[in-house]
Amino acid sequence: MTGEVPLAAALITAVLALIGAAVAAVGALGLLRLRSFYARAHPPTLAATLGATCILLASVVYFSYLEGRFMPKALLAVVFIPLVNPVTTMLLARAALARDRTHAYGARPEPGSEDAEWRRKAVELASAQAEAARRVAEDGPPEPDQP
Amino acid sequence: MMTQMLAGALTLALILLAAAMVLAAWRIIRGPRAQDRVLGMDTLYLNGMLLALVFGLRTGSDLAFEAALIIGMLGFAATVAMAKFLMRGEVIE
Repeated sequence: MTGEVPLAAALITAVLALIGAAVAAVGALGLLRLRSFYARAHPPTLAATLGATCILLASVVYFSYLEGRFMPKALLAVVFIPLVNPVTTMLLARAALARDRTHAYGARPEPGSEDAEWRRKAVELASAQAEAARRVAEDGPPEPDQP
Repeated sequence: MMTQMLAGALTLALILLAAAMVLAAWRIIRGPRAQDRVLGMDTLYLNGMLLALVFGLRTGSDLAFEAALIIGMLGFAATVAMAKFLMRGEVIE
């Protein structure tokens, strides 16, 4: 550890870094423990939002006091990471849903698992939507309900 | 005394983040399906990025910060590419 920072800055840095690391660890634990893919998609976002923000703020505080001037470089990532992570999570969840809706490709989930239950629901919904689309194509759009 | 407390807290944070990376790696190994592995990789690079940041705090050098930013951006591109691959079977159509 090089340089000296004031007591208040060291305390803030320590608390923020510990909170961020603890939140990230909880997120990874949730990723391991939860039982279906759609449930597992949620916990890592803890690390991406609260965890990343805490640690990056800790680094802004620490380096600002260490250098004696405001160091906003870390704020770049504070904006970037929480903004970008929901995009990847949503893309991944939509890809998983697309794979669940078609029987064509993608490994089958283990029978009896919660993943298998979600896949059954997705396939059911996909076939119901295909049936509705077929009816609209045959008979035209449904009549609107009279008030 | 204060510096020692800060060093201890940052070491504890490093241990927690390393444990998070181990858990994410375990999810990558266990699967069971491709989307779970991509999710595990997403968590792994994110925790690796945070680990680099805390390591930079611990050593007092801001060189680690550039590394963290690059890990973040490349990891984002990698996850998007893999999600696209899982959805379509191709990355660029």
